[in-house]
Amino acid sequence: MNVKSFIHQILYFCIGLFIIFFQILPLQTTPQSWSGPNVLLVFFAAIVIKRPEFTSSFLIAIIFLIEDFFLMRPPGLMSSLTVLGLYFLKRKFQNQEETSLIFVWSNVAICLTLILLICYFVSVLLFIPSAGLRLTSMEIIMTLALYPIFSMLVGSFNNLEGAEAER
Amino acid sequence: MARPNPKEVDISAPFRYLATGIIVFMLIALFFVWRLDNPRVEKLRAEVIDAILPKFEWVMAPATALIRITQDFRSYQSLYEQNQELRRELQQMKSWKEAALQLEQENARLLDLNNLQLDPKLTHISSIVLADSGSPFRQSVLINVGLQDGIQDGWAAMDGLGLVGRISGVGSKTARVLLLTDTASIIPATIQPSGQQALIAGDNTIAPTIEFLENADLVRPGDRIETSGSGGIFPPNLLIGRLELDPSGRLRVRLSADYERLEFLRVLRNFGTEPINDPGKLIIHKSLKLLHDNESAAASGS
Repeated sequence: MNVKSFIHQILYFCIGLFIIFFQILPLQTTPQSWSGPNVLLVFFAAIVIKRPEFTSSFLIAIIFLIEDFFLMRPPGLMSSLTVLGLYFLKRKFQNQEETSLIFVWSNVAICLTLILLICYFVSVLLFIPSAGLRLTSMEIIMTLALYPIFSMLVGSFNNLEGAEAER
Repeated sequence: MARPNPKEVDISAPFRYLATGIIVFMLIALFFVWRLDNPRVEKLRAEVIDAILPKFEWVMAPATALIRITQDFRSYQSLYEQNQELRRELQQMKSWKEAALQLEQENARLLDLNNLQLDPKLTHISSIVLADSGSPFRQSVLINVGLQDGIQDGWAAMDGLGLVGRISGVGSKTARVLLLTDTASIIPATIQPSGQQALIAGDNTIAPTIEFLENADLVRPGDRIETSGSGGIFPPNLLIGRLELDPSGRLRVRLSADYERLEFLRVLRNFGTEPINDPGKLIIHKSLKLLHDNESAAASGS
């Protein structure tokens, strides 16, 4: 069990790194007027809900700290909020066997919105240069819209593995 | 699907609780250290990026090339017209090139006549853009040269034509270029031909704004904007772009550098102009000085 958990964590770490590197490919060097979703955040939110036993706060802290470093964000701000938020989600859904997507989605939405908004307001309060509220709210909406897709992806992977184990 | 039984969870839960608390505390501490002692943590950031990024260079370069090719694929439809247009432009360029060559030769002759010493220190290091900032909130790129190539913080980065940004953060093999469009970028500039001084401040749009202009009546849209070199931030007379008015009447810079395609950047070596503080150590012989004094006294006496 322990080895399996370890392998899964390595896998999630690699996927996380892949997402970060896909983001920083030098395709768009002009300023954009729109903002994409925070893919890494929504990916780990989906994993924490679907496979709570294979995630640890340490893994999440490391990968989000790396993202903070690469994306020129204030190091530690976003990652600390994410660790807290995802830990809360994990505790809430760990022991519930069957939950409807809408219920989970609304909880995830509240949690991720809080993470991104607190991040924005702390930046504003401490005079850290940040993008406007418009871009941030756009990012929040895109991120929330992406959750069901990632949830389904991780869920289908889950089922596949479950079927394999039964065989 | 084997879930851990509830008992097991109950045992490890307090430990996880504690571990999460410690991790969050450490991250928040890192954030506040960054806020208070920025340079040291930014150096750490440069080192982390430097440790990770070169290992992924082999994936990133082909991926970027592939995506660019697919992006370009759409433009293949208009290839023929584009080709014709390019031929026409090339014809025009040839005549310009001829003119430029003649001017260059003339310039070289005149400089030679004057025996003028141009600044020899403006050599450059060419580099490849490895990555961008990855988010629409910050504007910067990572390039594949660093301390090993002698890059220093604050040097100017240009593409073939105009200024792109300044080095901010150097690792041993990579360096970050803060683009002129970033909100943290402020650069002193001169607007030619009037010679007005101003600051070019990025605001996360493609055209940075012009702040603290001395006299807005003396400048016109289309004027050339160059670095002024004041404060020793950049070497003077690097082309930044041209002045333009946006619809709301603000003065902005249309950047000369091609921000759509930042693939290769040249970093200008700039060790700064050394300030001259002391009057020098000229040694005049005592007797000579005496003679000189006597002569001047005699001249004033007669």
